[in-house]
Amino acid sequence: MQRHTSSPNENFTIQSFFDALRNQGILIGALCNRCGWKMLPPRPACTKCFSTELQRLQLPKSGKVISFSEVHVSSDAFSRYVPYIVAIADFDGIRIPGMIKNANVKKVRVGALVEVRTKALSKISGADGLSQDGPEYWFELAGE
Amino acid sequence: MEKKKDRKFGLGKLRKLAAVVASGMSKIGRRPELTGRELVLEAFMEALDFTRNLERKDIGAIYVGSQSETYEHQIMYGSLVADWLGLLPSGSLRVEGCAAAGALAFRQAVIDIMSGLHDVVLACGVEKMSLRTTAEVTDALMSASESTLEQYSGLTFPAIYALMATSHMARYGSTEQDMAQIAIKNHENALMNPKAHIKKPISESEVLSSRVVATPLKLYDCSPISDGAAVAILANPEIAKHFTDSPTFVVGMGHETDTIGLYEREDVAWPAAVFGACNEAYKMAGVEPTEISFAEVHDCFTINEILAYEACGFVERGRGHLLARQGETKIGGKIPVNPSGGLKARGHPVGATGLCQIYELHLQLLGEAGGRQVENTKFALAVNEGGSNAVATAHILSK
Repeated sequence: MQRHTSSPNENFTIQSFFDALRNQGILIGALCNRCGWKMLPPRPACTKCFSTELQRLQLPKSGKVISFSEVHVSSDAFSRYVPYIVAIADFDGIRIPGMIKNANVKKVRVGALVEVRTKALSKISGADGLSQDGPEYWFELAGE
Repeated sequence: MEKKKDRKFGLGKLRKLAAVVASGMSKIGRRPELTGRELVLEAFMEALDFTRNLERKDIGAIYVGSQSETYEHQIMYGSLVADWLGLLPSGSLRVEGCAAAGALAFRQAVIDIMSGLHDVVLACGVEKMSLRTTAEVTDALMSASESTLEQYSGLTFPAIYALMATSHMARYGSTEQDMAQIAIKNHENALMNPKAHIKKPISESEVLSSRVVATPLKLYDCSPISDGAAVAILANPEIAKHFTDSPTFVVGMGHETDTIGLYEREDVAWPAAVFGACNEAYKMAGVEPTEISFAEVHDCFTINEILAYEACGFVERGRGHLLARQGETKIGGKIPVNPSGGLKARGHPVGATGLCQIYELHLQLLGEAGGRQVENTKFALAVNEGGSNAVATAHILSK
């Protein structure tokens, strides 16, 4: 008997997340067709029910700050940005971490509304996979 | 209720999973004169001094916890330690789980004894960090967070714990002053620990005015960068008395995981894995949180000791800061926590920490903790965590 093997569906890999971010400027995730669980970045199998019947979802533009911190000491890769603000934000049930850019930390609150911004970069440099210009997606306070 | 009735017959009713026949710990701190393997040797020699009839060839297996190969550019810590302690050719391996590596090594040693594979097993933990700059250490620790989004967005480890703190403060009204009480207490306890990294009392204003690392966490909310090692020699409970008159026993243990990314948790200020691991350990030992005499918990950042109070069941969820505010976790309080000084002041050589905690439990239960001795100890709890509490272990020891 021959074993059947299949690779993880390439539409739901981490690579597909970064391809969409870099080529289309969008953040994509996966929605499980069987149980409705949402995952971002996408995963090839649902974390809850392990179904591979998935569809792509796109992160809503507006979210709400769950928590935040202003970082003053960092690793070499991020030292040039200090102090910088990081947060976890909730976008209609999908939570992701990110920097909050172009904001005064005094105006950032738990519950504050944020929007996702992206920038498509043609080239990534550095062995750590980081671009010279930092992450290609971040948050900004809504209405700023 | 049944269990409580059983226990009036005393500890004989407890299931002894394994015996700790000896434990040792190096001095913790900046140790430029020694490499990691020599720090393990220092801890091992102390442990050997407290055994009798134990020959090194009796040690059937070795488990070594270490966080990162970045610091010394050294993997193969299993073979390295077996070699340096003169324990070749016994089987030896490295256990990894960030800051939980030490307790995970200890847990593997208990499982080894329980399986009957070996009668005597050595658990070690070690980290040699001070050769590296703060930026390099920050980077090495960051590798324990989720790489795709968290590391990518510049979430350092202090930042991850700061996110827990901001959320806890916003919902439950905990304050920076509450967190400062943890630092003050643990610095005070460490004054009576001759092997502690930091022996310096601090005031609330010093904590609050110390340099910002990641708001609301400041320098004195963070554990230091330390070198150090600790070991425990474990044996089958039936033969423990052959090696010492005063063994301690592992009577319960737990181990759980959580999402690697903090951002995926339903509640960023709730260490679910700690709660699960503690409950598993309590159930196995048949004890309630109120029966714990004292605990060593994972105060890598002051906020995490507050979260541990809640997850260990010492106080209700959302009220951990009140226990700190009321001083109930000082030595002599209702439930002393981190009499050793904790990660905060005893020091945090990452891979060694879980075994530093076991060392403190062992000493305290035997009444050998000197000026920091907790009175009337019966059950002691150690909680060790790795990543953003993405792995947690709990061990309950008793005499």
